Amino acid sequence: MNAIASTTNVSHEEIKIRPAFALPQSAYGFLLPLALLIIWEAVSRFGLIAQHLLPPPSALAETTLALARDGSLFTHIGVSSARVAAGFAIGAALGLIIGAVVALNRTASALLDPSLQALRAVPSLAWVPLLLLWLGIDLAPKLTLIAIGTFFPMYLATLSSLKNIDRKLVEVGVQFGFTPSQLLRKIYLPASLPGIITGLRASLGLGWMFLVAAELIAATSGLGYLLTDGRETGRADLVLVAIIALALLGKASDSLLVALERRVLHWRDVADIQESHK
Amino acid sequence: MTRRLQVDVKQKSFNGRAIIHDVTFDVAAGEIVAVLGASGCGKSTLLRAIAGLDRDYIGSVSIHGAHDNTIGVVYQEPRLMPWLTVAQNITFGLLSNNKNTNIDGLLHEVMLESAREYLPKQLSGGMAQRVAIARALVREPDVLLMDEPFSSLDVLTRRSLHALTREVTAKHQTATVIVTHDVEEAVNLASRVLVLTKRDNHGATIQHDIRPSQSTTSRHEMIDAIIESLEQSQPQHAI
Repeated sequence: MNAIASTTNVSHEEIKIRPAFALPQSAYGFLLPLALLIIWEAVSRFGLIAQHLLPPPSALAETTLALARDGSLFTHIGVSSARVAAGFAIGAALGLIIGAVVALNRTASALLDPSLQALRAVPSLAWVPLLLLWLGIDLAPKLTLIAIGTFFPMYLATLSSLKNIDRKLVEVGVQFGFTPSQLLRKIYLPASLPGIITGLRASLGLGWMFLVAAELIAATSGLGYLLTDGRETGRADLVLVAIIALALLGKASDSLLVALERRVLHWRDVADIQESHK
Repeated sequence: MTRRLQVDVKQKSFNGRAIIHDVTFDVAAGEIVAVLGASGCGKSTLLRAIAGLDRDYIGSVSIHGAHDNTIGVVYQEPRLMPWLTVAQNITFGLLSNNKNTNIDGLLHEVMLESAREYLPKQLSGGMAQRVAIARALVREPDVLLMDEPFSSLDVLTRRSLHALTREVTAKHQTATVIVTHDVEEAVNLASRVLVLTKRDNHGATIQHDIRPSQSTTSRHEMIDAIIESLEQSQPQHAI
């Protein structure tokens, strides 16, 4: 009796109206770019904006195909990716190691942290003229610039995540009589992993940014070079293809780290904020 | 019965203020002693001193153990490593050279065989505290210290963990000290209850040293008497 009463009492607001069809959640990310492409094609086709300034997506597809056919697109992508990978590996590794040393050692902290914080205040692009003067225009200044750019976010993330570990967990290890190196291996490192992986993602993002900066200034290959080349030859399609390639590469490399994060940090007990706001 | 743990903390101060004054007692192997007191009276400070986490006091704590004088601690919160499974958390305190400990036996003792591969986030409060008890026992300690270990659990879970505490104390022959502000818990669980009270500027000291009787009615009277005495010793501004 009660059950019947309660079902008939459901108010109209409580009945959710479901759409006739539903896209999978992962498809949502493609909706905005797709709409943009359609508008873009139309704007360009109907001559609202001159085609040499804003070539339509179909023209970009042709350019991409041409660049792919003669292989230069893959060369540019390969060269740029290798530069980011190498610079990021150096910068992030140094950031991780020095961040850990500064977090764990009082003397190192007093000695290094003030200088590093001062250097961090220098906008990294300000190093470019100096790097060109000292290291020429080859690979060395590019890798150094990317390494500088990726070092600081990694350094800060490592430092702050090691300094914010729950004292109560550390006390468990201290009570067991762990040595400093056992504490580091069994508590500090795993506990700081979430912060360190966030640092890796921030650092890699900046890696791509500094790659473009380095390649815009002096390069004969790479996506940054493609950008310069397009500007100098008045070919907006080359610039746009390079931008799209950078977007895809940045997203793909970040996805790798997100996959790593899911794998390594599956133990985290985190709330799904989107689930709770449905 | 052999004396296992001897505590003689004469004076413990913090920032020039006395916190503990003349707290002396001993605990036999297989015995449970409860240290009872109001919040903030210095119970946890005393426990930290016994655990060796705080050595800045006048006095001594000595253990006469069969093993290498080890202490197992169960904290107020489970304090499990969130990245380790139940089994890994239990063996957390073992160093690589003595991994041959009977983990299955411990899992059986705390009734968690089926949760062996669970992560802490999958455990209820009571299960997590069972893991913490097994972790504290993994080195076969001579002394088991418990710092308000059941204060955040519901009555039924607390009952079953009281039973578990009695079992492991008897089986492992630990000298068990449980710090609590729950009078009923102290009287029902321990064979000896030390009521700690704070005397203005002298720090906390043992006001009553009670051996709860076996009969339920006299235990209830005892609980009422202790609560009354705690109320009287409570400074007015703290209520």
